Amino acid sequence: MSVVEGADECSPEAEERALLARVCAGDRTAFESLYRCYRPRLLRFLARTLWSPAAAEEVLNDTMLVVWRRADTFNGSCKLSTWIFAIAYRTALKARRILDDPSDEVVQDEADESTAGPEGVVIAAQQAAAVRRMLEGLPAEQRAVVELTYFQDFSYREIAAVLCCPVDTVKTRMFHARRKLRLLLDAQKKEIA
Amino acid sequence: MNNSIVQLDGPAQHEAVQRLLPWHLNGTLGSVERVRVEKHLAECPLCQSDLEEQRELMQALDAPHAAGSAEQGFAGLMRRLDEDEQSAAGPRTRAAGVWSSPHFSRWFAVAAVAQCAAIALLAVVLHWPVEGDGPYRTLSAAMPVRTSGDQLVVAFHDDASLGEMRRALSAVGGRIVDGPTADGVLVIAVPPGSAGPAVTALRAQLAVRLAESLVLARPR
Ligand SMILES: [Zn+2]
Repeated sequence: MSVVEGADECSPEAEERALLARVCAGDRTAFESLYRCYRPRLLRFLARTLWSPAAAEEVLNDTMLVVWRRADTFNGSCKLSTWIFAIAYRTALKARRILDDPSDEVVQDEADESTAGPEGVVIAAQQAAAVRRMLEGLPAEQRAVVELTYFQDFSYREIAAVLCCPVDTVKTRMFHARRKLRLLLDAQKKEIA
Repeated sequence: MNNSIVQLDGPAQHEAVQRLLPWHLNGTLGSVERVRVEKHLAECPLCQSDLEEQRELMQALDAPHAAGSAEQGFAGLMRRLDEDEQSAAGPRTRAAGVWSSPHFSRWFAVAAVAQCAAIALLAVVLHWPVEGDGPYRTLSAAMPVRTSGDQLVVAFHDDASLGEMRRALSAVGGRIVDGPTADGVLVIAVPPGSAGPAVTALRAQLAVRLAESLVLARPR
């Protein structure tokens, strides 16, 4: 898929795992390679499924810091991308939960100071607006499934692992999302016509 | 490899294949399922056109996502990493982290919006349209906010704390219904008829950078 720029240069699983092994040893060059490999995909995923682009950049940083600190906990039972996307998804959900906490004290163990700015993300306004109109008709968890399937090439099992839900739920969400999107797309076409 | 699965036929087969088509399209099905889908596809015009529709859908959804530079992004990440390791070396009293950071107001806004489950998650902005000059136009163009009560636009100063923001909003019975824009402007709903006093009250708060009543003709 042409959209996921950088994903193509992204190394295959074995090379990614080798990078992660070096990250475990505190190798920042390896970390940078991993970051560059995942940045476009994660940004896209986060911006499209959960948050505004500005927030995506920050959740990306939070995610990669977790990868840096927890690299040694990756046990190889799934693909590295599944592991990293699952961290991204959880990090995003965590940011969302923060306001449910009635106290002002926020338990914080992974995210920290952020330096990335919203200006880092520029938008092709017209197209993005059209896509937004389509996607905003869907609940966030359906958007996540759509994005991971169509634009990140995840299998339904991998998506289930990322979203931490049963495989059947993934299929059902996709089914409903497709039906809804289809209607929206037809409506949009009619509008243009 | 289980032949009985592959041989399954009729409406049940059609339905099962329908649910697998998206992953047939992205090429991630296992061999058993792939064979099953291909076999069914060959003889089911419905599924064939469904697949075509999905290709079209993918294209429609495929707006470019232009991100900032990876160099800048990584440099920012490294700053955080360094700060973090320094503070880890010092006394282990890490405070509220990002939530007390100067960038937090934006964060808060985003988290707050997402937290307003139904409305916000549906209306939340994936990509704010950048047409128009100011936040108001952007907001009005962006969202059909479905909520009762009066609406205001509010923005906080960058150094506002979580507590200040929460207090400011709860003092006027405000609920975030949408936003933020890239510059951190939120739409909040306050009880019907209280927009005027709410604006005054919000402006009196040090943490508040901007508060205006939102009286705009919304495109239906
Ligand atoms: Zn069929």
